[in-house]
Amino acid sequence: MNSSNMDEKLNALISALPDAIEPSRDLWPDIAARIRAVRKPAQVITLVSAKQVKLPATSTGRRAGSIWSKRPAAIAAALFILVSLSAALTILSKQPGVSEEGWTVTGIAGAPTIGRIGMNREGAIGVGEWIETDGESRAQIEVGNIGQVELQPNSRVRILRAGADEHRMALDRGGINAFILAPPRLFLVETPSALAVDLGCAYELTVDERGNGHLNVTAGWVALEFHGVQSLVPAGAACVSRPGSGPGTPYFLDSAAEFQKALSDVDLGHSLDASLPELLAASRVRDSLSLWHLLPRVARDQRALVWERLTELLPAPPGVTREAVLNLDRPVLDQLKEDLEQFWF
Amino acid sequence: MAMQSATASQAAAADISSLVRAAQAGDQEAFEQLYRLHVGRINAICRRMLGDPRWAEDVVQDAFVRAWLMLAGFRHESCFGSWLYRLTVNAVLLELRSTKRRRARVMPCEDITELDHRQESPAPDQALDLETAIAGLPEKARLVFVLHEVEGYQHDEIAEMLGTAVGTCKAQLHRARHLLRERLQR
Repeated sequence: MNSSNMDEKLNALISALPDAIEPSRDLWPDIAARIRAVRKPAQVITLVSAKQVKLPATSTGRRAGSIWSKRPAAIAAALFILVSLSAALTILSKQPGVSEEGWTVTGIAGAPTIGRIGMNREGAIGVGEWIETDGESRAQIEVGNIGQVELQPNSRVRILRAGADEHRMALDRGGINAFILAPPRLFLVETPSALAVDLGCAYELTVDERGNGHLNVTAGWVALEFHGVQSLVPAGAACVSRPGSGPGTPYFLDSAAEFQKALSDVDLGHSLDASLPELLAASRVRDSLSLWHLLPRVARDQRALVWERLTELLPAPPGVTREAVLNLDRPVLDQLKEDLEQFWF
Repeated sequence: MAMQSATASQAAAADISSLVRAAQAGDQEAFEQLYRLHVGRINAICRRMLGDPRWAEDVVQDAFVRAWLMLAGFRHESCFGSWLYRLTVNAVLLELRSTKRRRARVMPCEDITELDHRQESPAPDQALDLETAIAGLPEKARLVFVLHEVEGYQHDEIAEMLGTAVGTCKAQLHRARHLLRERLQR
């Protein structure tokens, strides 16, 4: 049979594949048990505005509350002022040229605000709008259909983009816990010191009063990026980013205290001649995560020391040579990373 | 006849839409009906992408739990089925990513030729068991093949999902078809 016939036969077989394949057993009981253990899906309710204010009906069908029942002119005036104020604040809080799409927000504690307006337990946030929490409040944001972000107390985020191809927010201060189930690079968080790019994961990201970012990944991967510098942070690892210099070197949280101290000094450029040897001496196989990231970030002489420590910890994979690594040959560095990754989980 | 068919499909879509709205309001029975209507299709996607029926059933469960949690975000602007399939594809890709290393210990090499020879060949039946052959493809070739040839995604969409280049997707599809043709010839 020639190639063309083979292709035809293959195409015919593909067309004949059934659309559905029933599972070997009924999966519903397990699914039902799992969804009973979680909350019901949040209602999609837009931000409460004056237009939506309704007072509870009494048994006679009249609205409760004496002033509201007795003074219709006062109601109309109050509603007009509230609607106007709501519209004005919404316009003020939006960026020009942004879409009207938004995400559902659920208040978890306290009284979060959207665009300076207090929200009920549930609301919606649009592109260009800010959501803020005070010391007592927390909120959960449904990020399109790809995941959730919990906003910690004393935090402020703005939605920058809510399209199907990109979900982007800015974290100005405070912290978020993100759980995202999506292909890589679909969810991004801008901070004053770096861009956090979701690669399919769960993580905590905080921004302190100086604009430093602190990333702690609990599942999957996150990339921190700033002006061409990238740090890849896997589950169990953390990374600090600083305004102006971007992401530092990622490290595993279970690494030795002296390793973390030395790494912080190296990242800050403090007495590199002393701190780098300390760091290398305290490194384990798993800390090859940090060592690999350091390779392009240090001078060639220091890079040679890092390479030597790496090869003490693990034999170099075939094709990865000292010279290529010292020359920062990108494909070779990628190959080295592929080999080292198995020790990062 | 055609008009009857169109009317029937409109009614079915309306039924699904009302089931989705009920489920969004917290109605688990409505969500169970949605599950019954879609589970075969969802299981087929998971099974073909993962190449392992038991593993696929675990991910099917995850996908429906995830769908329940994210139902509030579904705004009826697209077909519920499409939304659910896309969510499922994402769930499979995340599952593959998070378990990649665990499985790599069992199957430490991703070289396509080597893998192909190491895989157990399906029984040389007269008719090709395409499902088995797809399951025997290397992971990346299998993902691209299923998403493109079976699910109908475009190369640029697949490249975005997999975080790879469009050219790489095309090459993986070419390899997948080549391997399947070879098996077809046996």
